[in-house]
Amino acid sequence: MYQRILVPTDGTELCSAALTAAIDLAQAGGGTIVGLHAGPPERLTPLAAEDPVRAAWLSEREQAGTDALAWIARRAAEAGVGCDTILVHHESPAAAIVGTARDRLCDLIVMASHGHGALRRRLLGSEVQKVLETCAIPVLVVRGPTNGGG
Amino acid sequence: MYKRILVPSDGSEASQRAILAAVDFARETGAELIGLTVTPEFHVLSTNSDGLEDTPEQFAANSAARARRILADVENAAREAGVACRSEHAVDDDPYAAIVGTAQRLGCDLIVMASHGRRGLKGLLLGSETQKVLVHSTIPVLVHR
Repeated sequence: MYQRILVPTDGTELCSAALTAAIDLAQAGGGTIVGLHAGPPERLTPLAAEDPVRAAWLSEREQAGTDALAWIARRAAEAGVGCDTILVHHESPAAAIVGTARDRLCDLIVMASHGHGALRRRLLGSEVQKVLETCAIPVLVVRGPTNGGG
Repeated sequence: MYKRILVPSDGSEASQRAILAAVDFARETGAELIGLTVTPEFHVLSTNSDGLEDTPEQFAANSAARARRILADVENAAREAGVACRSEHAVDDDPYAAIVGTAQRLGCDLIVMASHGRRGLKGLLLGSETQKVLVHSTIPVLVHR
């Protein structure tokens, strides 16, 4: 069974089905969860000083990521599953996910496939695709919160 | 947790690894396995030189024989691990459609498959059928490298 399960979140509710699946697996196998949010790279931040719109966007993104991680930690605690959360800054979320999985010795990644709305349901999220192409460990791809209909 | 796991295989090396992982996973979760292989339909015009002179009956017999060989791998691995298992052979030119359809028809709650099959660039890219299954499946898909 999987001992350390990585759950990346983009700060939207899309990862809720993935988180549920990850918590179920962790509970069944006595594993722990690693929550990850990959925010925009920090090298953009100096520009933010002169650009209030960018500054607002960055702080909003940061807040969404922090909130999402806090929510993962709370859901895991409620389920009695050990949980660790990581906030990183990286230009490529997929690379951050694969790199974190390797550094933290995760043995499974659980991700949402981005199934949202009529068109999105027909597309695979680009980050999921990149993770699937580059990572060496199994990836569990779960439909978004709409869960079905496609 | 997962009760019925679909394991599609095309007999490739990557599929074999996915089968072993699926058997392990099924044993630990107490799930039942369903092995599936999909073979193409008979075509009068074909780029596959092996089957060009076959009659539809011969082609069907060859396909069935190939399917049995591939499915035997799933059944043997499951038997050794003491996991309940049965097999399905589908005939369809679009393997992904048969995979998603079979999962729905049999009430599977998880698909375990390799990231690429026979046609994929080895270990580099995401296989086209895997990708299509990910897009069309309503149930979770566990992708193995």
